[in-house]
Amino acid sequence: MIFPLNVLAEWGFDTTLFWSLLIGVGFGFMLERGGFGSSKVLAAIFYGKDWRVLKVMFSAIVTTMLGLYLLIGLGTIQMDAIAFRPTYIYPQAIGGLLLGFGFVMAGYCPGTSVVGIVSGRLDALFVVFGIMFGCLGFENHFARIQEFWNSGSMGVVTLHEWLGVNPGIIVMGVVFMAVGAFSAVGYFEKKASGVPFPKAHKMSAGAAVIAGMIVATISFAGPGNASVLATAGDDESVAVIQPMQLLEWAAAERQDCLCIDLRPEGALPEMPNALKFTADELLNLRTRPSFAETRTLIVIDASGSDEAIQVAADLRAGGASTAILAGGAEAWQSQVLDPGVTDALAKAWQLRLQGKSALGEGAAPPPAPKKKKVKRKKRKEGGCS
Amino acid sequence: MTSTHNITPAKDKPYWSPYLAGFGLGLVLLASHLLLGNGLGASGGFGRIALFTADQINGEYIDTLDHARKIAHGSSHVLADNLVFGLLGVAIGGFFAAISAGRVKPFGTVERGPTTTKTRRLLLAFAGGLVMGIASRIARGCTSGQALSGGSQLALGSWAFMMAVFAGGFALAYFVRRQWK
Repeated sequence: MIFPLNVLAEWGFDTTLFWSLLIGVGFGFMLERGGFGSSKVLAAIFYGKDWRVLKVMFSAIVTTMLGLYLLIGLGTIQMDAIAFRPTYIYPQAIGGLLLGFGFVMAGYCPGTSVVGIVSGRLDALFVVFGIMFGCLGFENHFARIQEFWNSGSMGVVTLHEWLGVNPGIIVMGVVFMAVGAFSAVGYFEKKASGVPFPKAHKMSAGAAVIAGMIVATISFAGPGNASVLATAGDDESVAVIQPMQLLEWAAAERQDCLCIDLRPEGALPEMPNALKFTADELLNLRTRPSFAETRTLIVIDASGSDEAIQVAADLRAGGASTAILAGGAEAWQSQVLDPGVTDALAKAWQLRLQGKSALGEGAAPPPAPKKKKVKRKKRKEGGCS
Repeated sequence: MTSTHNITPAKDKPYWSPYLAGFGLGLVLLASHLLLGNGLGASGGFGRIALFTADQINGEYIDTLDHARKIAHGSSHVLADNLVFGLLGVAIGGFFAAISAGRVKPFGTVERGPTTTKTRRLLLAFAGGLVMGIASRIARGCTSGQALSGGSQLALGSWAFMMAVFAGGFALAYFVRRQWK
């Protein structure tokens, strides 16, 4: 079974909304049981009085991380269908700082304020009013903030990709960090109240470390250890990259990928760094053309049709690393080249094509590590949350 | 948790062990990834509800705003979104959990320190919400969407966000301590 299920089952939109509602119910239930319906409990962490927030948060992060990276290690997650949070380092750091200010003033964060309201708290309702006005304020002044909002873009990058290590190392690191933090605050609490570490503390810590070791081992040895894009497709299916990901690659002038354009000579729009082939010509190249040895081939046709998929599958059968461009050249036209797009990198690309200007600083992603051939595609622009 | 008993009135049932609640929360978040291909979120839903409301009042003005227009007047209804339905779910689940534990207060209760006025606490709550609303849009998510979801994905920026939230909270805590005294 390959996760996430919604991609495979092709659920209708309404079904997705229904599941979102159900998952929200679980989320709200757990938040309340964790004590997050009370601003005093939430704010207490910032005064060192009660470390509940830290314990709940890190237990949750460790649990989800272990589950996710176990399945990734086993190769049962279709990585490109998971909305990994892209990194925009400056807005995330500054936004985080501001959110911390707001959190300690309000005594709630946005999610917990809902639980506060349904627990009968008027102050939580005021927090929500504030959040909504704040969101509207952002939208109203978006034009002024836009440049900063798009600054520090690094695409989808995880801690282990950033550090260039196996995910197993980071998984263990996070587990030890969480267990260490639990022990430290447990020690404070013991000093403050004289109560020894609860049994649950030792048990959870032990379980987390053991589970972490298993996940880390699988991460090192498992089938999912292959490149992320390769896990996106098994023998029958073909990896897909999105126009925005291709744009990041093109903007970074990466030499480790090459577009294979199946459209007739002179077809527009022109794709970056592309070679023209017909499907028939490629048939003769199945025995791994020399240009494919060190590059990922991105097969592009007009609309990402079955033909492109077939060609990509054939090329891969010949030993090449391949992917198709989702939606083909049409998607490239509408998502990157269309004058109406607002993505900063796409705008910069358009300017570059017009020969007016080089890429603006901050819009260009840093070049990826050289030896890495493929990178996960960027799925979603900021969407959540 | 002994320390918790000091904070909550004795008549309430005690909260779950934070490790158990965290584990449960983690399972929900994992299920969200596996079923929907995405983590959880809260502030995005508020953003949409706020835009919906503003749109009812002055839709023409929303049309002049580049970013807001795309959300408010996109291909699907502004409220037909996972995050909005997720928020609705949080309200339902939170209410069920609170009422089954006898923790629902009469509506209008304002949690505050014994020497703090209601007005002061409500003003701070509103101001804090305002700051969080702006912050969550700048950072593309809040504690749920960035810290929890991105954190468990091991996303680099989400970890930077999480550290920054704690730094900001601890830095400002001293200055607003009176609302709990």
